[in-house]
Amino acid sequence: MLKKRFWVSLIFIASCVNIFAQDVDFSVSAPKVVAVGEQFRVIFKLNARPQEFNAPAFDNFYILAGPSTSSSSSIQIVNGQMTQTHEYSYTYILEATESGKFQIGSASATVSKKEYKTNPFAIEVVSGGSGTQPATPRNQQSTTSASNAAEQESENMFIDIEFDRRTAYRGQPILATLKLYTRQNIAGFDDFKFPSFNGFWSQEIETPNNIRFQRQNVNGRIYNVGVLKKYLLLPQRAGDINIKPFELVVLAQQQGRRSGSIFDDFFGSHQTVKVRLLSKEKTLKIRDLPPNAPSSFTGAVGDFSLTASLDKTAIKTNEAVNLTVRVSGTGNIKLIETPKFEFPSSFEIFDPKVTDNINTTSQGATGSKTFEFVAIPRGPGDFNLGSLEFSYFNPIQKKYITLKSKSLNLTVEADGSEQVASPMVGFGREDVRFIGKDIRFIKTEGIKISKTHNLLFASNAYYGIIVLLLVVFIALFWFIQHNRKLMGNIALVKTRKANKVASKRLKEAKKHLSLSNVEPFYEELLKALWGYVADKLSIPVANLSSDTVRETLEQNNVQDVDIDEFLRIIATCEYARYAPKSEASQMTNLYNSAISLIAKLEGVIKNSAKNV
Amino acid sequence: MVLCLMFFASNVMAENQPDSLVFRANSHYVDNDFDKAAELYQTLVDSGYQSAEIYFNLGNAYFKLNRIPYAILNYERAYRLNPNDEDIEFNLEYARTFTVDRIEPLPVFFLLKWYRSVRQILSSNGWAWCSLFWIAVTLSFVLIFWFALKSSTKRLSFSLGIISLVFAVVSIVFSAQEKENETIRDKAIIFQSVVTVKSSPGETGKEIFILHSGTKVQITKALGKWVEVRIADGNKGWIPSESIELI
Repeated sequence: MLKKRFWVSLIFIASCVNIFAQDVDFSVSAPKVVAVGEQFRVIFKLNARPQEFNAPAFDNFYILAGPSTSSSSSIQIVNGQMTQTHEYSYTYILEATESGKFQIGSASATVSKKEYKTNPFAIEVVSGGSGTQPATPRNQQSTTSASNAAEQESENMFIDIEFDRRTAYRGQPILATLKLYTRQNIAGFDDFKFPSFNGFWSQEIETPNNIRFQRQNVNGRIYNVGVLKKYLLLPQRAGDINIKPFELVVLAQQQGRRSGSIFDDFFGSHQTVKVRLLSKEKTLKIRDLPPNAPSSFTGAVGDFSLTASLDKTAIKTNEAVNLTVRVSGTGNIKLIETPKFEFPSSFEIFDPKVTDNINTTSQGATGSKTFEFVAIPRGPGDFNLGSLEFSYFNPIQKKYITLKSKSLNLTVEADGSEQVASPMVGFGREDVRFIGKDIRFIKTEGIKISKTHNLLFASNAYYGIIVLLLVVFIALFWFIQHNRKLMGNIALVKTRKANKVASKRLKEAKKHLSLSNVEPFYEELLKALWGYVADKLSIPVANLSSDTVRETLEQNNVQDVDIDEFLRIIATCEYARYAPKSEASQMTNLYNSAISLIAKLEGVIKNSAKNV
Repeated sequence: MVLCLMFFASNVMAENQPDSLVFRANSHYVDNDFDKAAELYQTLVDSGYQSAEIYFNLGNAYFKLNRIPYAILNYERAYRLNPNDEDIEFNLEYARTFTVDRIEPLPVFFLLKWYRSVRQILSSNGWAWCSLFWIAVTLSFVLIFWFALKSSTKRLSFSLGIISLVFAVVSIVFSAQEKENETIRDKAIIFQSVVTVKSSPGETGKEIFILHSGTKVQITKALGKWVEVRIADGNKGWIPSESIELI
């Protein structure tokens, strides 16, 4: 800012000095092109009184008159301040004698002991007719047909579109100038069909409204040339692109054809004629950009510079930070796309704001384009955002150039809102964002390599294992079987057979009962009962007594009633065995109760065994 | 136990030398020197070593070198050896997205699909071990059944024995089928960038459709230098055998 102010003041001072010193201005004005035999003026102008004036040598020209000097001076008083201006002019009237291009040296003048010089200039002399004195009237008299007249028009007047270059790279600006060449006076324009530049992005360049004509030599004839319009074209595609012709209807002034009237000759009656002009079709060769474009290339062609900066280097979370990227230079600046820049994923990024300041001149578009990224960090940390890259194609050097901004660093501090936000569980949660996709990483652990991929199924090892299993099975089978036999567990067999033995004895007893053999009956019944209990409960015969039986039966969850019944039957039998007499009915009762008791005990002992 | 030990010992012996190769290849891969890594993995594969992991890593290296058909071929080989690895499946699917041909596979009957997915839970070897286990269990139930004193124990061991027998039979069947899947090499990847599939073997055959590199085909017949291939949507045709590479 300070610097700027300094420069402004310096310029201001300099301009003031200029005014007071009354800078001497010494200039020359002469036509660029003249015809042979044409008279023209060369005027040297000076804004101070010269002590001495030396004209250059006008070789190859006749000096018809001159130097004729004229001077003018004016005095202005503004707010009591007087300014005085002088103007001295030296005019030569010359005539060209032969065709060719002639260099005329500089004139010199001495003003207050200082010598000033004009720039040397060149005058082209052509043998054809001049624009100011058209030869048309003479020609027109001889021609009668309309087509001839039209030809004449096109000879006297045509439009053309000129380009500053015929080949360009895609995106490289081309300056198109629409020009009118005329040898007639022009009253105005009627209809103007602008050219459509298909395949180009075109922008009109401001040209003065008044067309200023300049003389120019075209194939030996002198035309007044005026610039109609200027366009800056940016090619959008490669290839040979045709530029469609454009049309212009000119109101041209012609000398009247009706001869005979004196007034016509005298006044030189003019007629305004509409002339439709069509430019020629032209072709531009647009080359495509080389293929090896860097990744950060987005279509910029020209010559650029890059600056990128953050407005703050330390902020708190949830505060906005601006990244300003400025691309300035010359080229297709308007078409530059937003450079890519990756913020860390914890940043929320908004669409960049793009502003441009572009000055379109005939040299191309110059200016700058500014991209403002607004990012809001959602998490704290020290971030090195890296540097921003911008690539462009330089058509002069014919290569891509990549610019890199300086590395951007940002410190984000926690603003304390995280702690506050923590009670709202799930509020700030979001889905996992996928920012890229790639294959999964290689396996580094548990790599098993073998020459052959061993398949176990139906292999020898497989069958071997099955055989092994069978062998183990058979061995176990044999072992258990053998053990069972060896241990001989007779008790077990007895237990199993207890019921059978008991029932056998009972059958015997029944036989005796039917035969009324009292003593054998009781004996068998006793044997059946004792034997059953001894076998079933595996009590050794030596230990058999009413007490052990009671004890063992209790252990087998036999109810006391049944135990008592058992002991009662035994006691009755013992008693009756030695009793002299006993009734048949008593024997039958005893027999029946013994059977029911054994049946009962069978059930109870089995259940108790199961429970155990 | 002894057998296990023997297996282990043979593996250890075989690994001694190529282990360092794998390590070197992996470190090349980590250093982004995919060319070197691929070369080392390839030498391992070429010298006859087989491993799903090596094929997977080789596929990764080829993928990074942007040689998609090679990558797919090696992923497929890895998948064949280990169909249950999530990473192999993921990378194979991802590499397939880079191929040109998009083929809608024929729909598979859902029961068959279930059957296959159950079968693919284990490899052939896994099912073989499984079958051995269930055979052992079945035999032990036979013993229990035989020597049980109580009828309830007998009944229980009988039913459990039947169930384990069913398991044993199923795992034997699965193991056999998976073995067939793993040994028969009838799938191939197209390596030629563009292949015209013809209706009959020989240059004179009518052109039916066009396949691009990276597409998986199944070989159904072979005749001289021509093979009949079938693509996932069921279409068939003949192509020269040099344009494909067996998985």
